[in-house]
Amino acid sequence: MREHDEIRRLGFPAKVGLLVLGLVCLLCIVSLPFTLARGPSGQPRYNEGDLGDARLPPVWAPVSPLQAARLNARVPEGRLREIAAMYGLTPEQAAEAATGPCADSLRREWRRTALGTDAQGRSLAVRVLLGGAVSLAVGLAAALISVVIGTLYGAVAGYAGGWLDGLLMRIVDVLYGLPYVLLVVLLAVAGDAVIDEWVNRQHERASWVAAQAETTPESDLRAEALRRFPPRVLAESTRRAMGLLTLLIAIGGVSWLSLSRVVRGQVMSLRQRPFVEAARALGASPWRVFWRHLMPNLAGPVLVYATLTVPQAMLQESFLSFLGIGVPPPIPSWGSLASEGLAEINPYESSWWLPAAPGVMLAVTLLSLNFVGEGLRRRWVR
Amino acid sequence: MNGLPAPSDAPRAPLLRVRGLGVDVGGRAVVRGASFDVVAGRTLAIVGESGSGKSMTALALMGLLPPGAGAVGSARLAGRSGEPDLELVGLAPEHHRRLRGGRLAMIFQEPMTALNPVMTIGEQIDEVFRCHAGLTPREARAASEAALVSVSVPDAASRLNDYPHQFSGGMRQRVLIAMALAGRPGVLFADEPTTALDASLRAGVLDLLNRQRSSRGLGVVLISHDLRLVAGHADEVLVMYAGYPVEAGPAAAVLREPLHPYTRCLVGCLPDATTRGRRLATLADLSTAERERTVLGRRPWWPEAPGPAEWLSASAERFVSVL
Repeated sequence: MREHDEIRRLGFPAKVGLLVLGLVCLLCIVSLPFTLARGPSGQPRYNEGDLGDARLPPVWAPVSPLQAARLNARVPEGRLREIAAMYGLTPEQAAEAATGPCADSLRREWRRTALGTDAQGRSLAVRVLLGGAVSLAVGLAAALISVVIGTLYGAVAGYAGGWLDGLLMRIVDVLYGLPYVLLVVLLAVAGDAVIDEWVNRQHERASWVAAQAETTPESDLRAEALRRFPPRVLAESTRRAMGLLTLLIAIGGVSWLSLSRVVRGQVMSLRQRPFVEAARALGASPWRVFWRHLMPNLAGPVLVYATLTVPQAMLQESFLSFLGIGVPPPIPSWGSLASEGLAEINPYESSWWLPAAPGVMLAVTLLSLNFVGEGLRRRWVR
Repeated sequence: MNGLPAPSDAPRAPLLRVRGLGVDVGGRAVVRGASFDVVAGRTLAIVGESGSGKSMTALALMGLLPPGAGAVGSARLAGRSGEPDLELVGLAPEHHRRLRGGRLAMIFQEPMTALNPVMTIGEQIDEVFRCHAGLTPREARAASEAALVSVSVPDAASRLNDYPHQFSGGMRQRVLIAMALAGRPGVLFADEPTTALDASLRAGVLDLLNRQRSSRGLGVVLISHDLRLVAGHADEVLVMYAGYPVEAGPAAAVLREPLHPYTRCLVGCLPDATTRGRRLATLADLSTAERERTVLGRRPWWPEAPGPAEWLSASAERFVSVL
């Protein structure tokens, strides 16, 4: 009953946004078992494609003569002979036909997908679905990290006050001053280096060799070191997941700054409120006042800023993927799909659907999130 | 200056014996030489205009002074069941905190904002029972319901699940009283408990306080600027001005026959049936600095003031400042 009330009071754009967002999330999540499952070739479906099927346009889009010729060439030999016989042509003539009645028959034989295929012949629809799941997960996880860090950091600063507040907030100011891309890249690269060292153990071996070098010649030591500290075996998928995690932490690690300022301000005004003094007058400890009386009162603004952080984090992930330091390939994300797609726009043969599909999805989702966030903000932050 | 004698008709020793209490805020004295006894089952009223230090006195005793403020003097809280007396001035903050709610409690002026808006009433009362009586959640809920019933909140069981915004001002003040009394305190400071309430609700809340006082043997410190309210509900009264106590004694005597010129002025300001059609008396409106000078020398409320010795009258019951 209460939740219904809350949704009713959100306002029209936020309600539409919530609906669209729900649909997009549902679609991306429900399709996960399909997109991640292995296809006929043994590859996961999102990475399965035939180079011959590269850059096929969406099924509903017009086909250029160049594309038609390429598609005709992919029609199986036996089927081509049948169609050629039907129209009294040689198979070669039929394969070259781009127009006319023969073309219509050939067209039925083409492999066509809902959103076309990319440069490696992978279905864009499947990749956009999985990319959506990845982008949303990155957005949510990064927002979660930033909410946890930002809320605690800001609340501690606001509640403690004094020199601690000054110190914590100056750190935030300094971090604000640095370009965030630099920070994310630094964090991502540092994270990657840590994982690399954990897997390959090069430094571990080197320091061991250095420690032993006085007694034994170094050449013998290297083999011994390799025997003692063998590289850890890590599945490729695990390595990719760890890369993704690093990215999450990097994005979450830089997007908590505004939230911490907002929360600090809220806490500073909350702790002046009479109910805090009333709780203290009843013997509540500072710890209890902080967790039971201050934190729950932050739920509104924190929720609002979290909602606005999700699109921000998704956009940052897209941007980083666009720069090539984001989600590790071949895992798709909307950002990396758009970036790959943009490379396919050229004067010779433009595959416009490649950047369009992830771009539209990204735009719609971000817009919905912003509408929802704005609706929530109007409700809670006066 | 600090010699309010214990009321002769009070058989028990005072719960709280305050002697020469002073409060400094940022090196400036805002309270000086406040002395009074809080006796079980009786109400002491501290009266004065805003800025006279009456709230600061209560906050100092509660250990809730703002940062940068400090208390001096002595305030001894009588020990319960054979425990030694406790000196509240200079008590460690953590020790003071444990006394709050359990031995000392306070209700505030603003019932609209003194409750946490995101917790239900039940959760907030439960908290006190769980902290001070160590009850389990289930026991605490039962105790909260009983507490709400005892402060005459109708339909207590279902109202426990309501949020503060669903309560009216009078009901919230009742909830706050229930919360303040939940830890079974000995001394209750009521800082202008009815100022924010409609006139029609005041009597109900004060009657409730009086009932609780006599049934639990509470010592109530009623902080107010409302002389009528004090006349009706207090046993003793302490009049403060600019941080200094100016007159103290049994409420009826002090208000019927004020000895100190400031008190006389204050009582003179009250409108009554005979003042109809005439201008009411006013207190000189002074800045804080002027107040201090006033106390230390000039007395603008009594221009033709004779020397101190001429009007000082301290009987066994009454105390009047020479200032």
